[in-house]
Amino acid sequence: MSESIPRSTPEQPRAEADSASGRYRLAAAVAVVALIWLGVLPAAGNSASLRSAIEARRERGIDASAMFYTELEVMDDILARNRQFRRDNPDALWSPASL
Amino acid sequence: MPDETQSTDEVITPKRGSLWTDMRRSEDWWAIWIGAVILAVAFLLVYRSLPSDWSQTVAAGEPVKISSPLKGWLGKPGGWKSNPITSIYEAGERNVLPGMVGAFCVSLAVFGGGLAVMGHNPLKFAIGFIGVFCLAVLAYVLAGQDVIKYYNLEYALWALAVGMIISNTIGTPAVFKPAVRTEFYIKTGLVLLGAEVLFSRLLALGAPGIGVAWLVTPVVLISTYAFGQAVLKMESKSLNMVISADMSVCGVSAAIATAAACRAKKEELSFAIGLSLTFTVIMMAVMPAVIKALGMSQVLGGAWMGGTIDSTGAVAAAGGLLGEQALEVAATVKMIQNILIGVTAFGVATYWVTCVEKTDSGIRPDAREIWYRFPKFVLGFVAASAVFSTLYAMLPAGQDIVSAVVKDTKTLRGWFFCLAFVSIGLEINFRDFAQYLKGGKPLILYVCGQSLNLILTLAMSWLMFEVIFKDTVQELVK
Repeated sequence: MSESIPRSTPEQPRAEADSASGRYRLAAAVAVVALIWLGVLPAAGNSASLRSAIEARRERGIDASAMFYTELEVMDDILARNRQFRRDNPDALWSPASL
Repeated sequence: MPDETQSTDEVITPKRGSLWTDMRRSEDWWAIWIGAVILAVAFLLVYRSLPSDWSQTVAAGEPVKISSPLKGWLGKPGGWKSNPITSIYEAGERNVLPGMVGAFCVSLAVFGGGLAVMGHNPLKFAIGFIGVFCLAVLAYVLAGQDVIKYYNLEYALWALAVGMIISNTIGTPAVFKPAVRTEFYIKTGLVLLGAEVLFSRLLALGAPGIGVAWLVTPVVLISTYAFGQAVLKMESKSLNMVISADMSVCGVSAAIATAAACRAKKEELSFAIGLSLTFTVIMMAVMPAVIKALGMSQVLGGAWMGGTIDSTGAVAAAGGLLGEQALEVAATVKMIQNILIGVTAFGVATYWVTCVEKTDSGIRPDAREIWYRFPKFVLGFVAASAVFSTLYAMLPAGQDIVSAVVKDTKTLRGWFFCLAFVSIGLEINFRDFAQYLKGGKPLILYVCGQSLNLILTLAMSWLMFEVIFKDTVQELVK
């Protein structure tokens, strides 16, 4: 009967302390992230020079965080022009004399 | 990564299943099946939605308006300025919630189904997946902030950070663990990426493009790897390879493909990506300034940046700072380099199973052993690339059809990679990175490799774009 009663072990207080400390560290990390993403970055993004640079990139279809060319909007126009050029000048990019 | 290829110098050779068993039980094969099903469904949906007179329209040389029926059903958080909620919902402007729910349901169904057949508990996976997916949403929202996007700090970085914050504070909750499936997500994402690797893109800039992107890049990749082994004596060959590939080919996407092909450790992939993104941010700011200061032409500057800056988005951003011509050349060179990713993954996987693992075990593997060890998902990646390259080239309106298919699959591919990086973050400890900083060898490797890249790419760009094909390229970009 006595065996079924949960007993505290020497590890338990330490585990509880670790768990509490982990929660505090998580709360601190969340606070830092919130401060940066909700305060610092929006403020930085509102500066006139950065804002105009961001808008200019957006209008041109340039996403600096694109991982692959298929994620770049600007590629559609570039590839359309490229296809037209190669259709009109099929050998130009292979033999310099053929243009 | 997967332990299906334990070293063969063990006294007891592990019992191996038949190919059929492997196809039903291994993650590599399931990545292929899932990728194939997603690509096939996306293709069929687009194909069935074509207007009835599309073949006549194509024959008349007129453009066909193609959009995927899945549009709106697959989505991810977008960009935002000051209110993160607007990345998901903004009245009258944006509502990606149905798309996110769609991506969640598709991901849950395909991975849960695959794991169930492989003998895992799908219910436990589903419960854990809710948590992991929520962290992936958070990573996308963090990556979508305007200033973060402006500086090319990709979602992979924030997915890692989000996972690491959890694992290094409260520890990864046990309920999440069945859904922490890094390799499964990465391999499936790579099979989907295969559909975006279209070989006809390789010819976009003809000889100049191939010279810069396909001659210089492999030389830099191999030289950097050899330098790391012969001069720096790097202990980890896989870290050496992943850094060499992400620096010479195309940053994060090349790092993911190469790491999976050579079975690099999760910490090695994360470290290589961190290193690459750090240098990318520096190079995308410094290179345009240097090019302007040296009075280089936009074409030469664009080709130089396209061949050297790691990340695709950063190349376009840096090209845009110089001007339209530089943007066009830089983005096209980088696109051609992107296509190299398939060859790189296949080459690295083959080299690893035939040479590197042979050295570790001391026995040269026979053909059967090579087949057994070969990471099979690479075959799916290459097959997807071959099939979609063929459809692109052979089908009437193939370009438009493939583009419409890829618009859907790239969204899922992004989620799969994001889930993979969250999973990596949930599995590693901040202290794991310390070992890679000791002695600074990875940093030296990157700096030396990138220096060689800068010199060779500049020389080849000058020769191709300023000497041999100067008039042609000027005509192309005018």
